[in-house]
Amino acid sequence: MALVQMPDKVLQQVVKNCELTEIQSLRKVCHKFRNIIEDFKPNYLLRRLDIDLRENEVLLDIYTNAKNTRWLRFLYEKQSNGCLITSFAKFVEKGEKLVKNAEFLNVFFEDLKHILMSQTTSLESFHIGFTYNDDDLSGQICKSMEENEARFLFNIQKILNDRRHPLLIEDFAMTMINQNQVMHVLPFVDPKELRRITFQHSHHRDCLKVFEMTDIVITEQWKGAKEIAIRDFLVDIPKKHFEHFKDKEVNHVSELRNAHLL
Amino acid sequence: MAPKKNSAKRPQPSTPKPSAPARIVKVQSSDGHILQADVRALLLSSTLAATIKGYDDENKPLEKLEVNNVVGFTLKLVLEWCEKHKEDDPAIAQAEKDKKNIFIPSWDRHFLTKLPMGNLFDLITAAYHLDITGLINYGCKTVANSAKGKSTEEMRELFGIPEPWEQPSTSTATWDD
Repeated sequence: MALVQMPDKVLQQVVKNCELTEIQSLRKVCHKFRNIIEDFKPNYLLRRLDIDLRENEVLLDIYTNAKNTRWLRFLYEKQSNGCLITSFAKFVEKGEKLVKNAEFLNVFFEDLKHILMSQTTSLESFHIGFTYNDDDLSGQICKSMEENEARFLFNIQKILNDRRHPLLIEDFAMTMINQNQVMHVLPFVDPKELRRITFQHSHHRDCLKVFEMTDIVITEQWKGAKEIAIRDFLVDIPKKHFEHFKDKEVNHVSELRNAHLL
Repeated sequence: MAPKKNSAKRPQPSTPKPSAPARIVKVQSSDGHILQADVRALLLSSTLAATIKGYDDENKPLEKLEVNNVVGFTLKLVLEWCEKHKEDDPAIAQAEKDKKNIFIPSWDRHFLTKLPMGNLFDLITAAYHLDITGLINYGCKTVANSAKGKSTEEMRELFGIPEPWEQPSTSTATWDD
C-alpha cells in the first residue's frame, strides 16, 4: 500500500505529528496531501515572524514554540527561470530549491498564507521591513522595487484581511518610508493584544523627514497600543495623539525646533 | 518486615492473574488465514470488542471471528502488537491520541521501524479499520518521524508517491518542480 492510500483520518494524524519543515515539504508531495493539510490546518505554534522585502527577494524568518523547530529562515529569490528558495535552520544553509516558471512573490505569499492560516494564538512580534538600495533613496526608487512593493502590500493586506479572525500580535514593527505602507498592514491586525508599535525609517542615513501619519493615528490599533517608538522620522502632529501611550520614543518637530532655538 | 506489606498493596500489572486462564479464539483474515489470539489482546480493537461483547451478551459460544478487511500477513502483525499490549491501560492510548509529542516505547519502535513502508501503511490502515488507538498513534508517529529532515523529492521516494506530472487531478504553478 502507498502512503496516500491510507484513510484521510490516518493521514491527518501523520500530519499532526509533523512540524513546520516536514509539513511544508509534505504539502508539495502530492495533491492529496495538500488537501489533507489545508483541511487539517496544522498549528505551527508561531512565536515571531520577520519579513523583509528587498528589490528582488524576500527574507522570511520564523520562530516557533514547537519542540524541534525553533528557528527557520527562507529566502525567496527572483531568478530568470523561476524562484529560488534557500532554506536555513540552526544557522546553516539547509537546502536550495528552484520553483520553475514561478514568480518569487507568488511563491512567498503562497507559503506565508499557509503558515498563517491556522495561527490562532497571538504572535509575540511581527515585523515587516522594506529594504531599499542606496540608489533608490538618493533619488527615484527603481521601477522593479516599486512594482514589487505595490504587489507585496496588496497581498499582505489580502492575507490579513481574508482571515476569519484577525491576526493577534503583541509587538508590531515596520521598517518603511511612508504612511501608505503602514495602512496596508496595521489596520488589519487585531487591536486586542497589540501592546507596542514601532516605526523605523528604512534608511537611517537619510536626513530626517516628517512622517505623515494622519490616517494612522485614527486607527483602533494606534489608539489601543500602550507603547510607541518612531525612529529616524520627525513627527509633526498634535501631541494629544500620543497621550495614551505609557512609553514613548518619538522625535517631535516642534520640540526639535525649540531645541534649535535654544 | 515492611517490604512484604508494601508489595501486597502495590498493583502488579506485568503478571497476569492466575485465576483467569487466557481465553483463546480463532480469527480469520479476509484471505482465509486462521490465526489464534487471546481475547484480552483482541479487546484493544474497539470493533472486535463490540463483536465479542455481542456474542457474550447473547451467551453464544465464540468460535471464530472474521476480519473481512485485513489480509493474513497484516492481521498477524496486528495480533502480535495486540498480544504485546494486552495489559495496557486503554486510557493511555486515548490520552496520547491528542498529544503532539508521543513517545514510542522501544519494543514498538523496533517492531514498527523494521517493517518496509508499504507493510507499515497496511498495518496502520488495518489498525484504523479495527479501531486500535494505540497502534494508530505509534504507527502515525513512526511515519512522521521517517519524514523528518527530508525534502519533497526524498519524501516522494520514501512514500512511493509518483512525481506530480504523473499524478491525476489539477496542478498548480508551485508544483512544477
